[in-house]
Amino acid sequence: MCALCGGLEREPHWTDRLPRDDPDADGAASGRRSREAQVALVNRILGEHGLAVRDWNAHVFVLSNRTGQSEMVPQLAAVWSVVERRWQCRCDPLDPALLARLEQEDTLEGEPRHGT
Amino acid sequence: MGPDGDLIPVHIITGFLGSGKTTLLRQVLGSPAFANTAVVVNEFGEVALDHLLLQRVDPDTVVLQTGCVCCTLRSELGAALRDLYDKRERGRVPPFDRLVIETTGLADPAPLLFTLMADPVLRHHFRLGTIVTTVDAVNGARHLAQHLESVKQVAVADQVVLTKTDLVDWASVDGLRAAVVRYNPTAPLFEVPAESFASARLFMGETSASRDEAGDGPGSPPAPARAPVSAPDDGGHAIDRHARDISAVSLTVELPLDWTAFGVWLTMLLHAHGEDVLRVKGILRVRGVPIPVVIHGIHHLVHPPTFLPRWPTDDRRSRLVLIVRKLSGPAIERSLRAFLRLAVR
Repeated sequence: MCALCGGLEREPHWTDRLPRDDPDADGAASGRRSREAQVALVNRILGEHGLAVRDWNAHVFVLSNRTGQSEMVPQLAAVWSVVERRWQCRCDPLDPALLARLEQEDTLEGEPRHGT
Repeated sequence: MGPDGDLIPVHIITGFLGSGKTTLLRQVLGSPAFANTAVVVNEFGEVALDHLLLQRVDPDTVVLQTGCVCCTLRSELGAALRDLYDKRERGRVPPFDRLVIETTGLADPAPLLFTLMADPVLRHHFRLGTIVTTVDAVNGARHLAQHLESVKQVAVADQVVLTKTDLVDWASVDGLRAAVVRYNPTAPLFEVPAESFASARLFMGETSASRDEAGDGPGSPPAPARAPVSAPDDGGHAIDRHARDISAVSLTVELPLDWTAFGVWLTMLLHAHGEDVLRVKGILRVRGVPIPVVIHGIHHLVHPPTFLPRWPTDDRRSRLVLIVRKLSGPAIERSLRAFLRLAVR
């Protein structure tokens, strides 16, 4: 438990920064950068619903809408279910409308394709 | 918690009713290498297992409030494993090195796996080992065609054993092999009794969720990418209705992928479609990580990623296989591509 905030130790999640990722880097700083990157990406998706997520002390995510309603979420995977339960926004990465929006915004990183 | 090596591997043997699970288990346990093995069964088989640590578990599932049908906890199993570990620590049972769980023939293995992975106590003492699925050469094709549980058992397997192959002709075995590969293109296939060495290789080496030094075991990379697998309209099995719904989608990514974007994508995909994602298995080239990252998932559950010490071949592309039900391969591909692009904006 954190002596300052009283938060329980966070359970690791598979989406956390990989332990072999940049082993020479400072672990805490690298972890913060990883969380910041997660927040940025998730907010790209949630923005159209008027929702945003932020990291709280590298411990939980705080999900909020524009009127300030907030809910703490323990890890990334739970963000989507909270968004659907509380704000009735469908979170489906196969949604053609979402994909069309993302495809308009971005440049190519990787090129997944079906093998032959 | 120590490294994976400190955790007791839990191997699972599953398969439809009468597919030869107990016979295979007896064969495996006859090997000296499996001397220190505890066995947990859903129901007592006909084979005498008196010399083994044996514990019976009655099926008792608890649906989590936040879970779906596929993400249920086997409360009795969890209690049984905690009790077994407690006895081991107290010296009341021999210090077994591994555990084998034999499921009931009608069991969907997903809740069992979920119990192992989600129980906060168990996951600090046990780790998921190899999932071996038996498929009966005499009746297996019919089971796959008629029972979704049979399909799920094959889909989650790390290794598949075709049993009773001496009772049918070669053409039937070949047809069954094709049916199995349709649902699980990555799992090595063994035949019993034709391959007498199979039992020695089963459960051995590394595990479904751990690094695999040998390169050809369950932790090995998926098979080379292939086109989405779908059943022909006039497929070999006249009532193969599951084949019309279930397909294996294989994707490759040329460039190192961004772990954050991949995590956002997969968590969202499993949130929305986890019930229809029977299996995720991949060897990934992740940006900033010099060695391959192995990922496994079943329904909504994803194992903590593990690492291979080296690339098994010169092909260093990320390869991801999803065995899905009623989901479009091209849509999944398009989605992954769009999310990976997010990372470089």
